[in-house]
Amino acid sequence: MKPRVLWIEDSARFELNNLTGPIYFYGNYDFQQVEDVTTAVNFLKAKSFDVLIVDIRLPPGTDPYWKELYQNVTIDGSGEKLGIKFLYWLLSQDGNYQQNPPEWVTPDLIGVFTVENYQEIHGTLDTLGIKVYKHKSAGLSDTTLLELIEEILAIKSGSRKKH
Amino acid sequence: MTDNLPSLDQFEHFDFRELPIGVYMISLDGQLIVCNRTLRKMLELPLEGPPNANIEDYYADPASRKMVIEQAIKVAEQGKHVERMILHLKVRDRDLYVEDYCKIMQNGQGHVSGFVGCMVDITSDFESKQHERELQERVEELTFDIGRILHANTTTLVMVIQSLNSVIQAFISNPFDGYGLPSIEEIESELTEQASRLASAIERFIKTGDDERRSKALPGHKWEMLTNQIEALRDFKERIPVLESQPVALRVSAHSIGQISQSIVPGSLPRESVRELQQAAWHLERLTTLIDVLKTRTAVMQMDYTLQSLREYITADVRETAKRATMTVESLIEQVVSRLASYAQSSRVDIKTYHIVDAKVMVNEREIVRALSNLLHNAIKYTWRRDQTKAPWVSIHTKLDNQKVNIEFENWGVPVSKEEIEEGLVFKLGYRGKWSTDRGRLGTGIGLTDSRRIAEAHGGGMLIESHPTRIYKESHEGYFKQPFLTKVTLYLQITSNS
Repeated sequence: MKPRVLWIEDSARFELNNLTGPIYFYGNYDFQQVEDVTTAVNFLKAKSFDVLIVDIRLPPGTDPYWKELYQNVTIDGSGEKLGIKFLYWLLSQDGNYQQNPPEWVTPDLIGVFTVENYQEIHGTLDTLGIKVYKHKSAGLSDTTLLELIEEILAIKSGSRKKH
Repeated sequence: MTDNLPSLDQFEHFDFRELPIGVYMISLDGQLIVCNRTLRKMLELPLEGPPNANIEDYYADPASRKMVIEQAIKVAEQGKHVERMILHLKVRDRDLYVEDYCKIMQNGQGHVSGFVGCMVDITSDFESKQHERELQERVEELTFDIGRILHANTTTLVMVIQSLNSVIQAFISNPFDGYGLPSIEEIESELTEQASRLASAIERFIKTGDDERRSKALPGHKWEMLTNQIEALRDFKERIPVLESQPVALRVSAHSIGQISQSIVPGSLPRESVRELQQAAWHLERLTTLIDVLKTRTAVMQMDYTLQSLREYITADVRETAKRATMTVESLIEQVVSRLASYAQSSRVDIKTYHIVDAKVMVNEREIVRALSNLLHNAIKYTWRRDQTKAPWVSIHTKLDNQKVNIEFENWGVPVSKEEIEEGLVFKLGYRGKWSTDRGRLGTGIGLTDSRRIAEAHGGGMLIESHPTRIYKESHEGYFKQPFLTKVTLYLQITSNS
């Protein structure tokens, strides 16, 4: 069975669509993408994944809980970093959401792919135990996403590759 | 009724100390001889007893009192009194701004002996006005800076376009003919041909030579990589659901095959087979790169106009306002079409201009050309191809309606919902249409706001209509996926027509 990959990214269909081409072409992964937190939660409840790639600036979708959080984080000046709240929930460190996170999720299957600088979020990543991070910046190669998936899978299988 | 009026007696016996403004008598050297409770409160003096204070001690700049006295004497020589003079005082380090009204008092020899007058505390009003002035200065400064930055950015974009033109020219045989963005069908046809050519080249290559020579030429995993790509190259349309991602995927594949072919041990396999594989990989990589360059060029062209327009919008208030002049509608439309000709060409959209009425309008040329250009730019940007045999197009019509001329821009493509029109959302600054971001279109959400503002400043206005062109009902999931016919009309008062 091919490894199952979920990319949670609101720019996946347009601005970053060049990154998905090689993944579909080689066909080595069962790849899916969602664009907001509500849809991501629904996907994660429906089935398990081997790799989750998460953006930090994510729209909330339709769920009132995420919508409210999104509005609050925006007002308190921390920007639209709903992805951080989502990661806290996902790794069971936020008990406020009425739905429990899936039990199969562990930090080693998550990679963060974001415009946020590492310095800004490394505290959060360390707290959550997430080791794979990739900065979204100009000049990304077409195979960035493919390499990110491979890196997470390599770490999971215990043979960590150098970034 | 008369019982309710204040009596003259009340006025004659009115105690000035009760007035809600500060009243004072001051000696020439500034000693407060008498002052009422309001002034005592303002200066934080004891409310009863002699004031025992000198007004000069309250001046933020004590030296300025001399100038104030000189001015009061000068005004008095003209037979007038000081009125509304703003004094900056300090009460225990707190700023106090007062509006002063005063009259000079003279002794028996006609020399100035002091002043009698009143002061009104205007601190909060003064400070908010000062804050407003500072903000205004800051806005002007920022506007200038943003204008300059945007100017620098548009210059960079021009440079980028020139470089991209050179890159396109360097692709000696461009299958898409010119700089314009090819249609999806053209791209698909070329990609299919070159991907299939590469797949066939791999098929032939893996049959070349015997096992011994093949294993000498390349390691086993590279033969496997080549073999695995044959099917992917033939099925790429089925494998990659997003059309925009197909060229990139094929480029990555072609590049990896090119690298494998470069690593073939020389002399191990016939040169012609190796060359055929290299050539086929190179052709596909070149084609996919060209597609990317053409797309990038179109995106930059679009961004170039958007930035220019944003700069014009931001700097409109700090620019010297040009006088309005009488212009023909035809000359305005000519300017607008010429301004957007390159963008239309790059987007491969034709601009069709229909009967232009013979009418004149009194306008600020620069502003109106910008307003109309915004509308034509939108029409081009949001147009879809409606006929396989023809390039997509936008239409410009003009009509006379009493003393108005309607200038209409019509396109067939991205929908504007009824709700967005009825609630005026499309005119809201920064609002981007619900369906406007399809196919990755970029924008600022300023164009329509700016155009309407300009039209209204000229005594005109704007109207928008958008109707579905197919039979789906609003409840159908495909309703907003069908093309809409959108007409945006800017109307102006005419000065004359023949």
